[in-house]
Amino acid sequence: MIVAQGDDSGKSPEMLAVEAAGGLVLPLPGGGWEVEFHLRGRDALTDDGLKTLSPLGEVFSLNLRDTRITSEGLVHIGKLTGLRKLHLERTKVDDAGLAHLSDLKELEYLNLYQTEVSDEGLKHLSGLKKLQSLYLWQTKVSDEGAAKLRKALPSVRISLGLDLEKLAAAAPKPDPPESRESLKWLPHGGPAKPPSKSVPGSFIRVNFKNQGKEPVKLTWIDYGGGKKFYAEIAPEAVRDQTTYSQAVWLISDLSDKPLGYFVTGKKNANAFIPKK
Amino acid sequence: MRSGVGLAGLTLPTFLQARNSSLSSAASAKACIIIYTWGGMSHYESFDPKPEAPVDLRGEFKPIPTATPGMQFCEHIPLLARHSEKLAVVRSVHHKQGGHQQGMYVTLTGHDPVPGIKAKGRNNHPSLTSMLSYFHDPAVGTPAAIRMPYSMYDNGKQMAGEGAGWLGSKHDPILLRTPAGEPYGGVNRYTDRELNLLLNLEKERVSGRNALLEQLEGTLSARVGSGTAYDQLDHYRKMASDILLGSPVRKAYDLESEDPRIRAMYGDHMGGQSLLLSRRLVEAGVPVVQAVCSASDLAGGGGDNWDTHRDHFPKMKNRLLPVFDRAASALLADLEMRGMLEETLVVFLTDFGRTPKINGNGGRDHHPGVYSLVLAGGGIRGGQVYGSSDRKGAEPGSDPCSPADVHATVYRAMGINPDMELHDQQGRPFRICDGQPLPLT
Repeated sequence: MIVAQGDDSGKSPEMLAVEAAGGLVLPLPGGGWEVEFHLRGRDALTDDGLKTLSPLGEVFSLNLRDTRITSEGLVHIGKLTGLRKLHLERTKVDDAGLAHLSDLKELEYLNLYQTEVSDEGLKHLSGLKKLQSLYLWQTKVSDEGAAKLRKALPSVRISLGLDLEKLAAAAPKPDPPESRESLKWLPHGGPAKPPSKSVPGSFIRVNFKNQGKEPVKLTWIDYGGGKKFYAEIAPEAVRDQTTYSQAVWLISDLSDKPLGYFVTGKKNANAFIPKK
Repeated sequence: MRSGVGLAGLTLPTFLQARNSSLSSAASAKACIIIYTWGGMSHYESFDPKPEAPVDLRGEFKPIPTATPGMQFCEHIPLLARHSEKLAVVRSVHHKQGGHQQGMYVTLTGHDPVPGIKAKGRNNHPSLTSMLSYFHDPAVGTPAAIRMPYSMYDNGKQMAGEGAGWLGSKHDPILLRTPAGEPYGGVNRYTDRELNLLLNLEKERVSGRNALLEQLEGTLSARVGSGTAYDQLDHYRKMASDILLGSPVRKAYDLESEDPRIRAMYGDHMGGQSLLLSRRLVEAGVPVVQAVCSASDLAGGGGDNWDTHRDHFPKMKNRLLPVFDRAASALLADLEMRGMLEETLVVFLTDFGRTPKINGNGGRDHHPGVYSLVLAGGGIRGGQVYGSSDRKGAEPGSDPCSPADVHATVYRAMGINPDMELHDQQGRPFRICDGQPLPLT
């Protein structure tokens, strides 16, 4: 990396102190500092280490994501009154910590996702008139709590994120495997020969179930007749495979000896791999 | 000692000053994710439907409304349509390069290619990905730029334009294979398995760095003969070893540790999982990530790519657009709810558009005359359309612009002055970019 070759001359003792605490100090155009702890300071930074920030002068942007700081450390952050952007996501910060932030009148961006904060803590933010973006995904904040803060700060954009439970519940359920048709097993060397290659078709799913006592290999015969290995299927295991209609699948043993084939149809299906 | 480019030899404070003087105060993007749809994505069947055009031009798909009044997308990207308030759609991009190599080169480097360019050429212009990474200094063990899941190929030949060119090999983006999801039809992922095994090795099980390097070298060099496996072996090897030895990037690469519901949101396909990996890499400190969505060798594979000369409509509807729509919209939603979208610029690039006329094979051919590119996040104002194509979608209708103008917009958003001059190893001056930033912020 280019900058790694520079020497440290030109760094003030205050900069060096922040770096020793795990921070990266970047000058901003027009003056002031941006300080990042989220990569180099993940394990190194302590609440006490945050003391190094106010001697630095104007800190406009601070990233503490993924660090081990707690609400107690935020007492040092509360002194950085020029702060415009503050990342606290994925830390142990809770409502008590937010009480320290009520003097950060310049704050425009505050990220609290995956922290312990709740509706109670949001009350401390109601005087931050310049706040534009507030991130609260995976916190204890409720829709009602967010609505209250919006009343106090009409211009703030609050992101509560997606409800993953609802997302999972709303996802289209695949048809139950037990109601699916079974694909015909074409033994290798048998009378019924599979096509020599797959033909592009529509998207489907196939459950390959290995009924044998030995693991088998699942290989797709591609559009050019080439072999594309996909997976090993253990004895009694099921592989839920996305594929396309008119696809040819080869089942072989672990030494690549072909055992047989399946050819997909237009619908989701089961494919039972027989015992030898 | 170094690549000899531009800022070589400067001490740290001087470098920071140099970088600063190139920074624009409006910059808010710290990272960039480039989504490249290889082969040339049709503008008609994505971001610029033409319901008013004659029936033999407009195609069989219908437009749908988006979350932005007056903005319409193709009906087969319904999820992206919900995110239109995050998107700046540029509908008037055009250039003169009708071949894949040439079109991809001008799209990714911002410069027209000279004849006979080669994938590893050091006189090539740097890709946008590598040039952006040049201005970043991630932590030790973190690559400045990663691209995945495959290099772009046409007719068995690796394309020029994805590398760092005259910036020097150390700025070549690192190629990573996406370790999960259904592969694109038409590509071979056999290499994944072994690489994944290597990457999944626990640090403790490896007796030492040298043993590890030998192991990697043995495995990888055995494949070089294939000519298509790894194009920057040495660089790659070093980086792979760093990843193995426990950087945050290694954790990011482990998609199994992601919430399964988030994984599902991106879709169980290599395209979706690549974009999920992009987000994880940016979180781990990688400043620039390029994901090629669709991957097959255009001429040789006959698999999933956007070069739809035949059966354009079924391919788009059944295979290409669903994966792309789900993956890209999941990325936007995911970045947004983590508070990352403001700092992460997302750019959709493609070789060129497709012809107005539908050919005898039910396909659309190459069309650099006008096409659409999209930007989101990183301080870009969403819910806007810049420029337009004409009524037929054949030429720019208003505000024509070039790929270089889109690049200049990206540089500006990333805090890099696009007019800045760098020097190659021979001391020849190059402007970073010849375009003019579009007013999208």
